[in-house]
Amino acid sequence: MPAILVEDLRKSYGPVEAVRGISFSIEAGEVFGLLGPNGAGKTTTVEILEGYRRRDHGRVEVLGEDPQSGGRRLKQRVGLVLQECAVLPYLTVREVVELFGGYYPKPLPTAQVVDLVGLAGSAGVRVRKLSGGQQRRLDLALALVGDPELIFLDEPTTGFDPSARRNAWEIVRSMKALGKTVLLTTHYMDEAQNLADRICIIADGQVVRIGAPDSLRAEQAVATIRFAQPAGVDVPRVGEVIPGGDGSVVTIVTETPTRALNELTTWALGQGIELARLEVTQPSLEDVYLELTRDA
Amino acid sequence: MLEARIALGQVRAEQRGFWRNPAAAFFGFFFPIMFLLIFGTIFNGEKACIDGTYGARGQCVGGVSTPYNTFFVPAMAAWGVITTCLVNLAILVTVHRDNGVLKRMRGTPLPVAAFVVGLVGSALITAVLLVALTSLVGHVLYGSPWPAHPLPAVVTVLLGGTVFCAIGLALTVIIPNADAAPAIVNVIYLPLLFLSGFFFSFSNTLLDDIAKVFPAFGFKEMMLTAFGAKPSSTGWDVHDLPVLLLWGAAAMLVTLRWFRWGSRRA
Repeated sequence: MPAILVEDLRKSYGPVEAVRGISFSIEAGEVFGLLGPNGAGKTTTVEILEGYRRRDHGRVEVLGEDPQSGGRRLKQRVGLVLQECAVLPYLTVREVVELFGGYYPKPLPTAQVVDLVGLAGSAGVRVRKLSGGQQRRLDLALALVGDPELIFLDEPTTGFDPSARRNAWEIVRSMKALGKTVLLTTHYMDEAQNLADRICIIADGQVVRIGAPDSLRAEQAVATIRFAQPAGVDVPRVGEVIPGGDGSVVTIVTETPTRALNELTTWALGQGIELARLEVTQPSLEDVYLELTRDA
Repeated sequence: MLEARIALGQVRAEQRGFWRNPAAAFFGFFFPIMFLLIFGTIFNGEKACIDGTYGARGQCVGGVSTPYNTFFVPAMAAWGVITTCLVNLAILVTVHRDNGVLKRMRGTPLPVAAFVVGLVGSALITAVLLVALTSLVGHVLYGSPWPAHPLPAVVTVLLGGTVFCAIGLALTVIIPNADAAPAIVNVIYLPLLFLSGFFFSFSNTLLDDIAKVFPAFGFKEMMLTAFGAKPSSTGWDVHDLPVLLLWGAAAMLVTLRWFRWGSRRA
């Protein structure tokens, strides 16, 4: 049984159809990245899965239950990190984690959770005095304290400095090591690439592509060749020449990089030209993402 | 058992939140005491005319003439209950709603009933403390009598407090956001207190008839009776109970039907 099953999900707000027939399933123990530009329907989809919104159409199962009617029993098995950290501002970190732990049948020890998210040094500090990054980490602690099977992480590292992001990534990896299922939404491609087993890119309320990060990249079997424009000669068109820049750098895109390079270097050797700053690159996941969501 | 423990945890968390928030603790607790000190001092030694009117020479006609503070202390205690329950809760819940606390809570297995018990229980604790402090200050500074009927006084505070909590929750339905909460609440309840004779006691048939429709008037009457400011052998004022209970029931229905867990922009 998949941890999450979504089939032909639809949701409209008045005349605007925010989600237009999304389907995917997430296996237990999987880290699943949901990506898309603002307004793509990410948040609506996640909020339907979290039980905050009702769907108009389609089938949704979270841990085998319908989030619309799953109620308390389902919530005991799920941890949430929402986009904004929102807890009673005048309680301390320790008090809030203790309070939330009390909502679950088998909570993890408060000290262990506080330590896990790196807030041990601030356990006695009131929530309103925490920095933005610390508040997000507290939110992570609140998602973990109930020892859930499934965790929703809605843009968990927005506003983090680089080292805090690395720490958060370690926490997500340790969740995976514990066998927990994670649904991660993020704006950051490197985050999805580093953490997710599979990525689902949505745009304009529909699924554009689902797959492992590497397979998504490989799917765009296009390589980019760049080098400095040699003075006084025309370069052979070994692929699609991409215009742009000030003309000092030539950018060529090709689906057959071996052949293109061979032609290019043979020509250059014949001309006695050294191609300065020659490089061949695979598209990054970011390039793939921009390509796939370009029209959205 | 788990539910009871969760509810107790909520009460404790809300109490901590209240006393650690300087603005809440001042306006929700010490502000009524400040009023007691100002009015109590100004009118100390004056008379109040309960249920009567003033005659041509200022005498109390058709009512009971008592020292002003014998009337004013239970009236201020009643105000304290309305402040700690209705005013505090309406503002607190709209703030929680705006900054996402309600939404966050709703995503956890915290039972809604336990959440409400936490809010109401905490407000009632504050209300009882404020009534006790009001009685103490009144007794020590102005020689007002201790509550004549302790059991009816406690029951009245808890019952009235619960009703005003319900009204406070219902008010969040018409309050658009946290910024507007204090203004809207004050505009609604402060005129009602004047109309209901919380500060100056004399009978005016027309005003009383209007005021009797609203819960503040009856609650104040019940407090005056329980405290012994109004003559009564038992301290129970069942005459004013139905209006109070009706308002409580109506507020609960409004809350159940229209309560919002998120801010409008979301």
